Amino acid sequence: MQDDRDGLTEERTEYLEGLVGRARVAAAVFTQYTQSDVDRIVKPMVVAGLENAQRLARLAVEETRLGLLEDKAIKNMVATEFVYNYVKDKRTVGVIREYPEKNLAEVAEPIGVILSLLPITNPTSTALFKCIMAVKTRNAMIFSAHPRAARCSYEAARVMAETAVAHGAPEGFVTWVDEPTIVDTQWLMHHPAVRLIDATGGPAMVQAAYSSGKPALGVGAGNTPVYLEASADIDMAVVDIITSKTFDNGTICASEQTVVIDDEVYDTVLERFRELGCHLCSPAEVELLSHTVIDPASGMMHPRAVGQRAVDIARVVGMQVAPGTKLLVAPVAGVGREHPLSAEKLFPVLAVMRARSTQAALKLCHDVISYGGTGHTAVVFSEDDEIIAAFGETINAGRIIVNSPGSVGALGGVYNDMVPTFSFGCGTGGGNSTIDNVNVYHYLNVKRVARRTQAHMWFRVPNQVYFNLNAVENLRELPSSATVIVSNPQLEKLGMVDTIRRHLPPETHVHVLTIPDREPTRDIIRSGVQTLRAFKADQIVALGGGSVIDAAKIMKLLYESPEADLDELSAPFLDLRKRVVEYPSEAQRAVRSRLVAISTTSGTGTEVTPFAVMLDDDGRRKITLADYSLAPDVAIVDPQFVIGLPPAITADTGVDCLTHALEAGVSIFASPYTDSLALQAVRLVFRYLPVAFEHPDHLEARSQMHNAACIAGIAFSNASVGVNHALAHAFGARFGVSHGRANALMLPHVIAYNASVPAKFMPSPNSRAYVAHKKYALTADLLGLGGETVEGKVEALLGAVRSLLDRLKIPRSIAELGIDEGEFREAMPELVKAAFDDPSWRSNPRMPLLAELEELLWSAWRGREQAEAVAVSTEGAD
Amino acid sequence: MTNTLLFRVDPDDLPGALDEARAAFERSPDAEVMLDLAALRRIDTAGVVALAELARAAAGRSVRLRARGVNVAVYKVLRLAGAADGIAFATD
Repeated sequence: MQDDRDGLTEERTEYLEGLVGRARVAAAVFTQYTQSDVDRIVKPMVVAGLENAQRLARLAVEETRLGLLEDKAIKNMVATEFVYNYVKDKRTVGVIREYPEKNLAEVAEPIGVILSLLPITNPTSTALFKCIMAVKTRNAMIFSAHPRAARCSYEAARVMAETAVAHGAPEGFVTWVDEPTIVDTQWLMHHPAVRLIDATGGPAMVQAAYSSGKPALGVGAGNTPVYLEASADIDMAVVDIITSKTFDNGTICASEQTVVIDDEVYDTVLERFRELGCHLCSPAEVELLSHTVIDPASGMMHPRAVGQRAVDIARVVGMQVAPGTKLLVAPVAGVGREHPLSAEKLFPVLAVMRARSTQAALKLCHDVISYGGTGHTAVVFSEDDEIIAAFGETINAGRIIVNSPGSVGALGGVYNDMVPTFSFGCGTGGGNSTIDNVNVYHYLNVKRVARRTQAHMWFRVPNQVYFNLNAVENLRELPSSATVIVSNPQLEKLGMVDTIRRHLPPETHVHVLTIPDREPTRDIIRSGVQTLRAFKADQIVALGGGSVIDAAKIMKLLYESPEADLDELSAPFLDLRKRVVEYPSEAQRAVRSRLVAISTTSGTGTEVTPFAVMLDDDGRRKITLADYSLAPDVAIVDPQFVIGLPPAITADTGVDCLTHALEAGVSIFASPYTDSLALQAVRLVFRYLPVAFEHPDHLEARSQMHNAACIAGIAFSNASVGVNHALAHAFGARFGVSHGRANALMLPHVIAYNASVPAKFMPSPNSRAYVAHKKYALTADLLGLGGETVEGKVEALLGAVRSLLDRLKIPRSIAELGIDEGEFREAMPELVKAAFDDPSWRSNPRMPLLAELEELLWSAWRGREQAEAVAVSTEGAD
Repeated sequence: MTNTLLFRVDPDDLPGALDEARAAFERSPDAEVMLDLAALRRIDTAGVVALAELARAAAGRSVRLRARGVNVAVYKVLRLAGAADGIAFATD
């Protein structure tokens, strides 16, 4: 009964369903097979193929009337023996590849049921090849052969299937469609159980496969250009071309089609063809062939010429050639429909062209392959590596064969080390999903098992740090011919600049550059760079707080690398190790200079950090630069420069130091190396900051606080900071609040925020669990704050921080600073954006949502709770 | 109360066991048939076909066909082959 829906009768549909059903069961059963199971089956299949190579070749020639028996027998042997040689040691089951250094493994998953279309030109060899591929990859195959090659194709499949089943393959893993029609094939292509279509055949079949909506492997038509360049070994080239073009009477789609010959060797090459038994066509003969072996209506090769011998073609079209003529060589003047013999010809007719230069030859070869053969194969004969390279880069072919026969070369494994195949992918140029020689890996889904990897960490320590009272004397040991001291007017007035001068080597020329004591702007930086250039400074001594030292860092960067672009270098990044921007390397610097940083606050720690902060041109946004090349070469941590620091500055900068330590402690980049430093800095701050605040001239307190700032600086240079800094930068820049004070206003709110269960965790391969609250608890333990539970200890730490801030007379809230609430509210979107754009939060243990950033700012606006006095134990802080 | 007929499948004679199961539910149409496949490490095409036929027969007679002790490799084969339809697998 006719089923009008798809043109198949009920019986036919039932028959095809049966094929699919058997294949589906076999494919399912195959999934249980191990690597040794399949390898045990493949080998006897290969032997059976070899034993039947000649018989199958005879069947193929008899049925298709194409090609040469002897060459078809060789193809059958290549399809078995050579393919086996490639696949025998290949892992195709279970774990197929492992990358232990990447904690990665690749695991094979079979495809299932593959509908495999077979060509008329290579019917038996393709069937043999695909059966071996199927077993090796544990797939089931349904063959649909070309109607004019069905008997020989299926006989090859039967030999393979019977041998395989006899050695343990599941019954039904290979089936075929008897008397296949286009309608059958279309129906199978759309069957849900068919998981892949492997279409080795003509363009129409391949097009149908890709139109089916199923994953498909196709092949494309070839139109192989050959560039026979002047330096080539002409004898070898001509023999290779004849060997290839006559192989199986030219039926392999990779065989040579048009040979483009350099002018200076053109006549010699043609003479060699003639000597070796080829007929050189006269213009009249070219014209005759153009209208006989090429169909004038379509411009494509006439099917009746495919796979016929040269002498037979000559006889049929009415040409006189010598007996035993191997090839008909036809000079053509161009490429395209006006030159019919420039099309693909799967028979022993070879077009030749003359090229006046390499450039001309490459263009002609490009034109040939573009005329119906894009992505397939191209050949070059040359001894010039540059020309071979140029050919490879110019010509769009999946197989660029060098100094070898095209057809046999493209098969792979014979003349070269390409993967052996009987299916040539032609890439997107040929409308295919692959440009590879189709092989076992195209018959697999390769899964990846990716184990967690730890990101590599580092711990960088400053080059040189001199500390304790009078450490500045070490300046004398640093030779310099021209030193620029960068400082601010207040410090110069206090005589600190003179202190520096006194300790520089006597022969050093010294210039002093004073800049305002606030975050530097571009103008300040530019002016500083000009000064450095004018004095040809080989040393910069930055004496000041964070702003002065940061300014000096950026001045040094631009002084040494004038082409550096600050906008580019301050581009956002997620991971310092992977970021796009590269800072100038040492080798790229035009000038070298030494940066000595002497901090006059305790402090930002910037004397040892790789960070520098400046203000954007509008003065409302802070820009952070981050690179280890920014870290000063020498840090001098000398408490004489902080004795007598006013209480407010002592408090603000001291809390900045505490914030660095606490944030480094809970950062996702924290490590045992940074934790030890962070914790020690916290101890020192709690012990000595109140003393330094209340007794500005207390040398011991100043010295220890100065050390604490440097130690915290080393900690956060490696572990970075967090959301506290992002928020402080945002509202500090907008409302002109000093950095330390801004940090202080945020600190208790951020501790509470980080210690609570996050709405969103920060993705971090190095963090095994959320531990911020535990680290705060550990800090509380080290400070002797008490508490029975983690929550209790966090509360104790919060209490200690509030108590410290109160003791330092830090305002309780942003509101207390006198900022108008309306203005604060209006600025909120800008503040949240600035905070989120700030890279500081990227190392925060808790990923801040925009709404959370806003809430934190409002919390700080409203202010911290009143604190009770808290006794902090700082044993071990000395 | 449902009468559950339990059949422990011998991997060396899967078709035989399935025939027995089929005969049993044809005798007791209200029963539920439980196949214990714990001993079955691997299944071939004949086994898959036989199970699929049993499942179809059970469905035709409204007999509930269940299976327990199925290892994941065999389970995967049955699912991929479309032979698991009509079989309720115990979560073990």
